[in-house]
Amino acid sequence: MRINFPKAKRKIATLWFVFSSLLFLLIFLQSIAGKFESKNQEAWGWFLALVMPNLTLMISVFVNDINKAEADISEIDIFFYRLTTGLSFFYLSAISLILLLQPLTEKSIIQLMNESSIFLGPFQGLVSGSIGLFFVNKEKK
Amino acid sequence: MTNKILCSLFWVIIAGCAYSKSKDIPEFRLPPPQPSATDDIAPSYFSNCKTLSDVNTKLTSALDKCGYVRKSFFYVPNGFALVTQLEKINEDGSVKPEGERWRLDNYRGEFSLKNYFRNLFNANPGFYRCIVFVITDSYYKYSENLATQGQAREWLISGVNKLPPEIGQIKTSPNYSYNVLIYQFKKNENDSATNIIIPSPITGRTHLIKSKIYEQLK
Repeated sequence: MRINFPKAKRKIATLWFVFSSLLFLLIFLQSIAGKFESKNQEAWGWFLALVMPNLTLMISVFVNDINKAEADISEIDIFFYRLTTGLSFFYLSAISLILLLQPLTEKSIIQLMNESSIFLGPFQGLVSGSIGLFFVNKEKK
Repeated sequence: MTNKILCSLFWVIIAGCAYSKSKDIPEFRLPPPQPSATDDIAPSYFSNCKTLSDVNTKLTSALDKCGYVRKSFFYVPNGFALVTQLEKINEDGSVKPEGERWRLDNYRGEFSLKNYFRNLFNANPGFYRCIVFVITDSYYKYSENLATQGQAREWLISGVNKLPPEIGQIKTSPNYSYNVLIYQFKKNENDSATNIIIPSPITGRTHLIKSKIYEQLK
């Protein structure tokens, strides 16, 4: 089963940009309120390293597509779409939960961020891989 | 004449014994580390106390009523030092609820939405306090060393659990001062180190008022 590629691409991009914007806003408010104390740089470093590579990849693809003269009518196997959406959703949810559940733990936010890098790093590799696959596997109708 | 000499010798030996016994009791080293805040309790609070034992009874009774059950005693020249257990306090010097007061971890209190949102956006630094009462007729200055949280914990462990009688029997005089040294520490939520606050944002007197010690001494 195949689906329209531009539509699928927009859905994945929306998921990433909406989630990232909300997380950005949350961390921004936390920085202003002093949640990270003197460690704002560490907090932002953690967040940006987790989302920026994939956002940059998507932006690059969009810019590349805009520059093309002909309309994109390609399709993609729904498996790649679902795989990318599912992994992206779990990945962004994991980042959100670290921030949102921290007040319920006795660990500091910076400690949790450092500890989460152990599993978020490889997870990010998987997500990036699936996004790469998604963009590579499109086929013309 | 011989009797007088023997009598003097006897008292010198007795005094020497008492002194050496005092020396066996762990000593609170003077000069003490720089405190965050200090206060002198007015001698009028102890006007009915004839000996250091009486002073101790009044002081420990007040401290017990304020919840300072665990204490530690040390020898200081012609007197004693009483150290209270390190406690977690609010930023304004008031005491935390009992379940939270003696915990040294990042306990965030009972769950509530208000608590949750406060902790989501704000850091939760811990403020800790150790109070040292120094009852002596000697002068001393403060050392340049800074006290650590570990040192405050060490004081509690290394002192004796009650005032030794040889110190308790010493008679008080108007020369005695009732000094209070407050050691206040802060641990940032995102740091592992706990640092002493010098000077404390509130006075030593406010610390004693907020901990209700003055109220109980009256």
